[in-house]
Amino acid sequence: MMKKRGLITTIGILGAVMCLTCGCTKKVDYSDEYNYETDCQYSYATDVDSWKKIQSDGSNQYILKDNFIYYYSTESGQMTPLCDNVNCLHDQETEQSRITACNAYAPTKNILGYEYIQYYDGNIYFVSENSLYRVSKDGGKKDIVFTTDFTADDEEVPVNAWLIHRGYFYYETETYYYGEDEDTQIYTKCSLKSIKLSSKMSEKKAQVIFESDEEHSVLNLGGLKAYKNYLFYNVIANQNDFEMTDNESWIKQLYYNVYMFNIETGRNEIIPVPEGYSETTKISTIAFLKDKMVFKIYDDLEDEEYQLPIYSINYDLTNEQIWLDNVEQGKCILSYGDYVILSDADIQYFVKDNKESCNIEIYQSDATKVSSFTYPFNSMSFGGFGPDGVNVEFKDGKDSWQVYELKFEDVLNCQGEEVKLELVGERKYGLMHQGD
Amino acid sequence: MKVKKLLCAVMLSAMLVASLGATTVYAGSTISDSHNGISLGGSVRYASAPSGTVNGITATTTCGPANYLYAKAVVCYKVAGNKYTNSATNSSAGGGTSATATTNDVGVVYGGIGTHSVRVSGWEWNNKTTSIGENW
Repeated sequence: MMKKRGLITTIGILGAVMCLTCGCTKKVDYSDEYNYETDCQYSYATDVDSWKKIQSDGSNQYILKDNFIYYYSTESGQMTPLCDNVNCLHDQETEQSRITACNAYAPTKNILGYEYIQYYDGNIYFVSENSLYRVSKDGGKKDIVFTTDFTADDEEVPVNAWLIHRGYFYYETETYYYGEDEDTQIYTKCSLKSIKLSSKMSEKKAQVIFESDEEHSVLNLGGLKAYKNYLFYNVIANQNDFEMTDNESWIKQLYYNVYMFNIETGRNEIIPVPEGYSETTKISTIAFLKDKMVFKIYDDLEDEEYQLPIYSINYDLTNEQIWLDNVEQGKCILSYGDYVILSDADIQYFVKDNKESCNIEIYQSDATKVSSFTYPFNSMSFGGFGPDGVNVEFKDGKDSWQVYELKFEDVLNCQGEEVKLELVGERKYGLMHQGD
Repeated sequence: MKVKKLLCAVMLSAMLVASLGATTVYAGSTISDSHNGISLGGSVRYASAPSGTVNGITATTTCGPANYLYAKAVVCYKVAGNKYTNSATNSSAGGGTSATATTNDVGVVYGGIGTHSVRVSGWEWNNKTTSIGENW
């Protein structure tokens, strides 16, 4: 296991060192405090890799649904497609050329199935294939701000996972390499790069943060999140010659690590699994508090109800300690401000066969439980609270879909009761909706 | 993208035979339609590694005389308690086309989505979806 970790890490650190020595960009002084305008809105981050379907500008929400961006105004109580083009019918258009011209149209789903948007400093961004798009928050303008370079064979290079944080666009691309038999031995290599967000973005200015080696085939470089001066991502890979014989075999040979990249120093390191656990125990999800992070560990050889501790650790990876013991590993952790939120949505959905509700617990940073309530939806994940303190959930109906909201301040002192969400918006399906 | 297409091409023949034969039908896993007497179809099903363990999703689009057929498969899987997706696409000029999205033999597959499009004589059957299991 140590050998496998070392192989990819070394390249990752080299990449980071190269990035530092080659980078000559002027530094902007971002505050030491979280700023939802220019920081990744981490509090929405669930256990779903494609988690950024809801974003906030601090008081209103932007929602990605069926390839359109919708804007919900708290002030007017109206939900509308993010497009102010005259005579545009948005999601009700029927001609592809008119759909494409709509500023709210965001065909985001790429080859890895990622489907998300990001609010950043007055604009909403999304990636479609090999380009980064920007839509102004009033829906008045949509443009392309970055496109990856074509390969030597003149092929497009799609962007897979991506994130914007503190002035930089972080993005992952894949290339392929071959074994002796080019028909069957086809392997994936991935790179994570960063490029300064500007009006003149060129891949020539991109800096490599991580690049996988040629002894592994990467399945996924994802889980991108950022908090203050740290970028987090995970890498899932196989040894090239791996062949699955049974379910246990992939678990035992899996290369899976969570990396933490310091965007100021360029240090790129693996967050270590606490000592004393089996090699099949991995770092799962991480949640961010003001002075430390908490993370859960997960053993794929065990079921969702298997209990393990949740750990806390400082951002310099010191002072690792058990934060909360005996927690079912299937619970998801999120954070909001200096609170940690635990959700049992997965356990309810997959183990208890309860697809109607899940249970939420809220803890202070010292692991004192301050609230617990039943959430009357279960879409396999609880979506967290945005920087505006609002949880947004949408539900599919027969002919329309509805948006519900829940305010953090209203659930901070619950005693286990079921809470009621407020219906704030409803919209008839457009032609892009094909059912769920 | 190139490799995913290559992989799909390699598997195309076998997948077509399998999917057009006796496959288990899941709720929502098939869709069918017709236009001017031409039958169109889409389906999605689980794919397996040689060991027999489910490791992906195959989406198949069928139509007789078509100008263009497209299939996209998205597989939903979990590793270390987190939920991921992967996808693959394929297209052909007639008959049928299949795309298989795999997990590279890691993770537990929970379900997937098929997307199907057909273009025939200027008429389009666009972005029809089928699904199987749980999706995210």
